[in-house]
Amino acid sequence: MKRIFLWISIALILLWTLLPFYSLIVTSIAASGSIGEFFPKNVTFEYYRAILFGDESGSKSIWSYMLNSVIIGSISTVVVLLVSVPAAYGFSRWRSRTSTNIYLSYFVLRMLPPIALVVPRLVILGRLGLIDTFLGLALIYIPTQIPLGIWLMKGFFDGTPKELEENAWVEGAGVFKTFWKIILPINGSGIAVTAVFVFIYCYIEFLYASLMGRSSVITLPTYIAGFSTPWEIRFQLMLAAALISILPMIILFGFAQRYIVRGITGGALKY
Amino acid sequence: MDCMNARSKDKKGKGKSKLERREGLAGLLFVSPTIIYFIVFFLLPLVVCVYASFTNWNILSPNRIFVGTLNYEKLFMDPKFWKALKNTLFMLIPIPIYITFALLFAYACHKNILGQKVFRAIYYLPYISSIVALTLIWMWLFNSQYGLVNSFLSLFVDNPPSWLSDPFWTKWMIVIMISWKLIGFTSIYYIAALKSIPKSYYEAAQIDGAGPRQQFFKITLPLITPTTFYLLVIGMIGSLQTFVEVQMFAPDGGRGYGVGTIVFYIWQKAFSSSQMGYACAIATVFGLFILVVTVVQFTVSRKWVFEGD
Repeated sequence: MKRIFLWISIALILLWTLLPFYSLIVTSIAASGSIGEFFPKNVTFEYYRAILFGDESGSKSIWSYMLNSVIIGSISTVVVLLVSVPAAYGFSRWRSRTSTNIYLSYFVLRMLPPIALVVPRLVILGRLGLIDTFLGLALIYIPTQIPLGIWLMKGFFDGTPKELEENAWVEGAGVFKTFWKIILPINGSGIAVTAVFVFIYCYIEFLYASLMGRSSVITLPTYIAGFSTPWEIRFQLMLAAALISILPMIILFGFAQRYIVRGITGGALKY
Repeated sequence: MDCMNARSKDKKGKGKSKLERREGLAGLLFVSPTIIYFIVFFLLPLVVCVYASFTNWNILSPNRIFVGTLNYEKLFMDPKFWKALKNTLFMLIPIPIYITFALLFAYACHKNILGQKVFRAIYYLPYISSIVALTLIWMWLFNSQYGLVNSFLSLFVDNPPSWLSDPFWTKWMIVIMISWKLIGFTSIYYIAALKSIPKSYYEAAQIDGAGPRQQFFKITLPLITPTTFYLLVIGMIGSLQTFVEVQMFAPDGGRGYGVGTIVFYIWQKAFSSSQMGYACAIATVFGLFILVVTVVQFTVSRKWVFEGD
């Protein structure tokens, strides 16, 4: 009885999650006459060819947009790590009323609707002439991801025994040397998780990307959305592009999956 | 919460040694770069937003005049604002749905290794797929001509709803979509929470003669309340900010503004009608609203969230 319930549950959740993806794959390869069929009779890969190599009707290939997404994701990830990893260590180890208050205020700010900050941020970046530049978009993503980075990393540092650095201090190593030589290497997997999360956020972010990217910095989500215009929606091209855009994330997941689960659940169990 | 512990520790440690003070300074050094970011990218925009809400700032005209509380007065008389607020609250419906199902699935699978692996792989798929791609699949599934959903429904009913043109059904479609997206993800949290409950609790309960149902309600549910609370807070903040789904499914806010949410309305005002001042006023009111809701959640949480032995 229990086993049956278990298998039904697993089957149901599989079906529930995967059916839309099945529909996505099937539609992206359906020839125009076979759209909407559950098992399409006529299959074509011309839409994939158009997305991968471009076609005559003017749809551009996906690569330059993917490169844009990867560049912005990489810049943002590196800066977020540089800022939030030391900060998380500070919040984890030096607890005082001031540091607690600063930490809590980050949380309150994370709750603000991003839209409330969109307008002023765009104005500030506009003044600096950074609209439609890599730096401008990265400057938006970085501060939104720093609180997440601090929160994730603090979870990992809280779980690192204090004795480690106390021993190092007794041996005469300074605070920064201890951090660099002992604490960071131990928390390598935590840093990897944080990097993956920040990167994914930048890779799929749409709101800011669509407002900031005018012509030179167009990232994947904006490119995919571009197949839908008020006049027509080019379903198959859009779905093919969406599928190809997911692939790098699936590969990333293959490498990082064990750590990811630890990363997302670590913080939730503590609060 | 561990911040509370930090406070009590702080009071005890009156006589700080020199070494400790030096470490405190180092701690400040570690933290300080974030403070700069925090000021430039959160506080400054926040101040600009609140200030702009008292002006008639419009992107198209260069002169900006201080208009006092005019925007706020306009806001409370604006029927679209109230409709958007109602639509926004509608987006809270998915939370109990996906939390319940996620808990059920997690409970069924948390002792089974294969089940966990399945979850781990599939929770991730909706999470990494860009929201644009997801809304597209959804438009496709719920398409009234070709869509899978309606061809399935037409087996049972004569007139399946036209999901994309009827605001009422569009909102339900968004509810289903958010639930779909978050069940797997939420299950992962619950599996981790369930695994952290010591087995000895259940063994003791069994000796005392408690059945599986009693064990679930008396041990499992109370012990996972911290996770439930976390999911509720995060879920509410997320739901109240529903935006992309509306933009994709109902680019004009739906018939009679039946779909548009507050965040969508702010976006429309700021970027389509370029009434920045008014948009900032809505954003300020809405930001306060979310803040109040969250504070209330934290206050009420003391009554029901398990805080450890």
